[in-house]
Amino acid sequence: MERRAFGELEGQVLAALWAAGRPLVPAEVLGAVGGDLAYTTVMTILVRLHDKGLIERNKVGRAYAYRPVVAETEVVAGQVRKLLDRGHDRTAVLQGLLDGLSADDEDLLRELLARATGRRADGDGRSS
Amino acid sequence: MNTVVFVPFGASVLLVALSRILVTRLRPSAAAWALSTAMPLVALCTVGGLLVLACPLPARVPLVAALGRWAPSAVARHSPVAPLVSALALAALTWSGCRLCREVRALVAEARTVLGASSLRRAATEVIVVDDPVPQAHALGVSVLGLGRIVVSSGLLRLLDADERAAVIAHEHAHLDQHHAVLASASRLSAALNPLLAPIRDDLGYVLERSADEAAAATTSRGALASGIAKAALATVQTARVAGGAFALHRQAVADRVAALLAEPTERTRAAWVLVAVAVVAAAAVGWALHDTERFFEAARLWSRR
Repeated sequence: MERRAFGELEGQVLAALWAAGRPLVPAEVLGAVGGDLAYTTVMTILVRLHDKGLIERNKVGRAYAYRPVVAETEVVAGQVRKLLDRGHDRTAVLQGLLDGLSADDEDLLRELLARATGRRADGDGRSS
Repeated sequence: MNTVVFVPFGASVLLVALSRILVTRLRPSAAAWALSTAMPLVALCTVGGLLVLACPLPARVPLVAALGRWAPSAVARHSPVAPLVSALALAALTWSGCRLCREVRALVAEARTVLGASSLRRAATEVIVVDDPVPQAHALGVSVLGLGRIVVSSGLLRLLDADERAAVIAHEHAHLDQHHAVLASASRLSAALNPLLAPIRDDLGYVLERSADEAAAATTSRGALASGIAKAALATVQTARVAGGAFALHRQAVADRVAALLAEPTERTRAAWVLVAVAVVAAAAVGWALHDTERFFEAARLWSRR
């Protein structure tokens, strides 16, 4: 597997652990990440994340359950906040997901979300 | 005076108008490419135009004239530009220079913050999760030398399902892969040099988001990305932590993006050439004006020998 794709998977596994809000065993991680990952790939990623100190684990029965390490996230969060607080101007080095969001958009967004959900239910698939 | 020297100023206004019209009609990647080529080019052309207008004034200063070996009186007598126009152009050049310096300093400070964030021990992976209930995701820097980082809040991750998470991460990844920080920086520097171009910065900002959306939709799922963005936007609106007035034109930028994802993707790319053509015309005009100025000073050198 190419390195970049591996980095993205690493991010998705980390994201899944954070989203879960409770410790997950590898089989649960596999389910939470979705897609067609192999169990061994998930195991490899979990071990790597654990080696990097980003997640911690506890023995639950025969398997380990993994959860993210909360400590020290504040340092990165502080750096991002520093960039966001650089005045009213948009920063060039940082692209935000929700740049240009207006408070008047609530009803429109609700309608769009309903349409998006409907589209996904109709089998949006992995088309472009 | 050769009036083509004013073409870059007209081109700036035209570029702003065209970008307004084309920004939602073109394929986002083509629009991003065209805008971030045309903006710096036109900005440099206006600087060239100002130089042409300004240079007869300092050329009258005896010391400068001695260096160029032309007669100050001859320059004064035959100067194609009125002294007042030259003085104004000189003032505009100085102002542009100051604005550029300020912008460069701000960008360097930002880049150092990004470097600081991506060299942290916590930042061993490309995706960094910060424990923050506010749903947000950001792409930091560019994916050169492994410097790019994706910062996602735990609040956003808890809000989304697996496909939406993958789509949003792919969106941020596209920002890094397509070097959007470089394009945004180039447009900021261009707008600093030439304030007439400032409105295009918002257009480019929107186009970069759309471009990342389309790239993410191509590798993950359109519907999941649309619902992921809509969910995050709704939650943000409801917790009233919206940065107001980021976009003057695209006030509904996020909603526009979701709507664009739910519609058929635009395939129009050819009209992007119009934007580049405007810049090329400006460059040709400035080239002509610079050539004329060079000829004028050659003549001034001959007069001084008489």
